[in-house]
Order: sequence, then structure tokens, then C-alpha cells
Amino acid sequence: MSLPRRRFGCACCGLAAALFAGRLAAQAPASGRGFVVPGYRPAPASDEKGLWSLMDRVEGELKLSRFVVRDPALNEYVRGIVCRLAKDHCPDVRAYVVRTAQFNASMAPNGMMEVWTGLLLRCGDEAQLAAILGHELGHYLRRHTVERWRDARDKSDFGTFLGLGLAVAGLGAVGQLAQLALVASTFGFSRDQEREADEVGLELMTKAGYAPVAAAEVWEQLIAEYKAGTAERSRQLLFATHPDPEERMGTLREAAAKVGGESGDRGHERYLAKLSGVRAQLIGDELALRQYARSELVFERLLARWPDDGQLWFAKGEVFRLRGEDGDGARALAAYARALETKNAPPETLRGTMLVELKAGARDRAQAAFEAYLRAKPGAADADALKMLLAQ
Amino acid sequence: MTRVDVGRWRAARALAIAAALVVLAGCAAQVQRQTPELRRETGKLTRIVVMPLDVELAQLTAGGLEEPHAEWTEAALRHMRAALEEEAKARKVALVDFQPERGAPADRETSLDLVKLHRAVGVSVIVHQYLGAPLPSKDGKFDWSLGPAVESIARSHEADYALFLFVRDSYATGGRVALIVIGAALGAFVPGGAQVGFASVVDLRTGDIVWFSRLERPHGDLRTPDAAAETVKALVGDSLK
Repeated sequence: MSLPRRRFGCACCGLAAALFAGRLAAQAPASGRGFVVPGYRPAPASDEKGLWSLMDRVEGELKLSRFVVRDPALNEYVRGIVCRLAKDHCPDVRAYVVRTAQFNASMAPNGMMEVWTGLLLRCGDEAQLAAILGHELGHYLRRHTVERWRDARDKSDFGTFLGLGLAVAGLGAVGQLAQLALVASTFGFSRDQEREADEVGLELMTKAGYAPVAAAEVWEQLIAEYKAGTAERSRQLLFATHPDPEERMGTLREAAAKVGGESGDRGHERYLAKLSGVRAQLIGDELALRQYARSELVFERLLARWPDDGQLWFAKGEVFRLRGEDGDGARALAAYARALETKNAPPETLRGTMLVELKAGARDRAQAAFEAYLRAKPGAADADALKMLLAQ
Repeated sequence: MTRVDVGRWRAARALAIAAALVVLAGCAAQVQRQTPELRRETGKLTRIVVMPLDVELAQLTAGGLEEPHAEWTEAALRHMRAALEEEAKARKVALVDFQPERGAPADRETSLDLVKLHRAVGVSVIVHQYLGAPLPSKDGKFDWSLGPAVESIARSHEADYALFLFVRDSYATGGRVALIVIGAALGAFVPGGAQVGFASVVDLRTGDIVWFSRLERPHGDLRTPDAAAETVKALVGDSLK
């Protein structure tokens, strides 16, 4: 009884191998393929069109989402950078700024790009943002989604036939291992695509006149954040499908050095000005995550770039005030004081000062800060609540 | 940094599991109602807003992935809408297509969120009303609701009811059929394509789901007009008069 079954199983396995061997051989994304043509649309009955249409519907929902940041100046700015990078492909790509306080951006096969606000907060200049946008455009230009879909489909087809064949042959455990290897290889495929998108991104930003080194800096910054010991969940999310960031940073730094390194446009002051309409919200969203070690690092890094920015000094003070560990009160007050020396300290700097002074028992100084707060922000919604705190 | 949105398919997968459970449990009841018939005012046709049909057609690959198929989905939407019109005629009600550009901006967003809410509520109805996981608080009653937010649709479309419809329909590829045949020869059951879905009629004064129907079957087609009409009849044929 077991003999014919076993033989059939092997034949089945052989059939599957014959069916799919050709496809599997051509799996890795080949570097050097051309970009899609401008105005590209997939064939109506294709798998690619299926993916596009699905994302068209998702985009229809996204357009109405309250998480999309509507600030017209910011949107026009991001759109401008996309067009500077994408050139003839500009009309095929739509960028949406989405209010999510994490470092990420994504590209759908139909040209829908999401740029998360956590990414905007973290960039030190326009060139860094351009590096990420260029990377995302790389995914679009090389049609990575459909490539990955086909990879997953072929491997799952192969894995299913293989699993059936091996199970029939009485080698079920081998089948499971083989399927695990296939799953791992789809992740590997994804990492290859990320490397390719890095290459394309660097090419686009260099052609557009941005300083190529900014691409490596982005990863450097991200690595430092992870080393601050937080964001474990984001690590899993991003790093399962992305290459090791240290490797990535090294590769990008070498490649950037070859194509101009430090020279090129940075858009340092321009970036800050264009973000001004939403920056207070981005800072508030970052603080709300209560990942203080990470936030402290982010704000310190940004302060190294804009040392006289009151919003950033305020943000740093807030990190210490909210964390409230030993010595944080003094640190918060120092940061607030530095903010108040700048031109753009938010009124809430005085509110923070008041709360920290009150906690330290310095009632007079708390009272003075409270009065200064009301002068800076007449009709503040929290005035009565603060007054109650002072009266206690 | 690329991702494909798979949330839509997750609901379909939950329903596929539901369908399998239905087969095992031999559950019979299809339609649930809160009221025996539609509210009608003399001299006026009852107006029902057809919400954007939440329909996706896909081919089922050998490996069990559902590959969205745009042409089939577009054809299905056309055929289903036409078939709904026939059903409406038989009931003497007026169907009005939902138009996202109508109404205040906040209303528009709420209206489309309701389509997503219906997706979630519908799955809950199936799990708790049909699949042997009853909620003690319901005490056997069918009293599900999308809540008063549906007023935004009533406002922008001057209608009495809204029809929500969710269908995921998949068709086995050649590879999948081969697997089914091989599997059958070896005594293993490999599921093929399936049609799963549900429809609700919602009272726009309250948000209550006054009528609910579900469909889970291994056959049925939406790619041609006649087959789509058959599916629509199977889904809404027993709806309120």
C-alpha cells in the first residue's frame, strides 16, 4: 500500500519541480532593468492591473482620511520634491502626507505614495527627505510590488505542490522545512528590492542635484535611534523585509562618495520653513508616544542642525518634564530657558516652566511663569486648570 | 518600505473560515430581520441608497493566494448593479447610487467609513448570529446597528434606507484545479474558489440593520450578467418587500 503512494508522491514532486524550476531560477530582481515608461498603465487582464485597481480603491479611501495632512504649503512642497526627482514620471505619482509618528514611507504599485509625518520630523534637510522619496520612487519605477507578488505566488505554488508531494512520500517534516526556506527566500527577495530601491534613489537624487551623502545619513540617524533602546516593534516591522541598516548605510556611503558625496543641494533652511505649518503637531505626536530616550535623541540631533530653534528646545524640555526622572526637572528648565532666548519659542514653554517649578516647590517662580504664559497666550484653554494647580 | 494593503482580504479569509464552519455545522437560517417590511409612505417611493458595492473578484492560485482581478471586478460591479435594479423594480422601491461628492466634507468621510464599518459588523453578525458563538447580551435577538452616523447618508441623499453589500468571489486557476485533482486522487480535500458575502438593509433614521442576508458557497459566478443576476437573487432575493 505504501509503495505506490510513495512513488506517486515522488512523481508529483518531480512534476512540481519541473513546472516551477524555470520560474524559480529567475527570481532575484535583476539590477540594470529599465524603468517603467512615463504614463505606464498595466494591461487590463493582468495580475498587475488587479493590484493597481485594489490600491486605487484604497487610495480613494485614503483621500478622505482624516489622517492625511492637508496643509497646502507642505503638500505642494513634497509634490515639488517628488517631481524634481521623478521628472517625466511626476504625473504618475501621488504623494500623501499621513499623520503617523513613525519613520516610514511607502509606495503602492499604482503610484500612491505615503509619507509619514514621523519621517518629516526626523529629516534634517530637504536632501534627506529626497533620499527617502527617491527610494520609494525606485519601488515604483522598477515595479517592485508586482515583482514581489509574482515571487510570492510562484513560491507558494511551488511550496504547496512540494508540500503535498513530500507529505505523500512520508516526508512531511522535510516539506515544512522546505516551505520555511521558501518563506525566508521571499524575505530575501524583498531585501534585494530594498537594495535596488536604494540604488535608484541615490541615482535620482544625484541627478536632481541633491547631496548624495544625505541618503547614508538617514540610515545613520535611524540606527542611532534604535540603539537608544526603544522602538522594538518598529524594528521587527521594518527589518524583516529590509536589509541590515548598518550594511545599508555602509553601501550607501560608499556609493554616495563615488557620485559626489557632500556636494550638492541640502535645502536646510528651506526645509524648516516649509515644515513650519505642521511642526508643532509633529512634535506633539512624537512626545505622545512616550518613548523618551528615542525622542531625546531625535530632538538633540535636530538641535545640532538648527541650534537656535525655539520649538526644538521646547520639545527637548517637554521630554524631560514628561519623563520626570531624577534631575529631569533641572534639565527641562534649562531647555525651556534656552527656548525662551530664541525667536520662536511656543507659549507652552512658559506653561512647562510653570509645571516644573511647581513640582519643585518654587511657587513664586511658578506663579511668574503662569502669568507670563497668559500674557503670551491670552485665553489659553488650560488657564483655569493651571490656576487650580497653583492654588493647591 | 513598500506594502500591499491586504486588510480587505483579511475579512474575506474570516468569511472563508466561516463558510467552512457553516458546512460543518449544517446551519440553515440565512436571513435575519428586525421588521417584516419596508416603511412606506403613501404616494411616495421608498428610496434606498446603494452604497459603494464592496466587491472583489480574484483568482485562487495553486498556493492558495487570492490574486485580485480588475476586469472581473469591474464587470461584476456592472452586472450586480443592473441585477439590483431588477430586484428593486419587483419591490417598487427606488434605488439611488451613493455619490461621494454629495453632502458636507465631514459627511462624505463618515459615509465611506460606514462601508468599512459594515464590513466589520457583517463579519461579527455571521460569527455571533450564525456560527454558534452567540452573545449573551443579545439574548437571541437580532438587533445589530451601524449607529446614528448613518444620518449623514440620509441628509446627503434624502433617502429612507441604505443597502450595503459585501462579496468576495474567487475562481481557481489551472494550477489550483490541478492541485484539487491531485489532492482528490490522494484523498486530500483542497478547497477551490468560493463565493462569500453578505448584504444589509439599514434604516437611515436609526442605523439599525433591519434586514441581513449572507451567502457562502463553493459555486456561483459574477463575471457574466446572468450568473451575476443569480448571485444577487441568492443574496437579496428574500429581502424586505
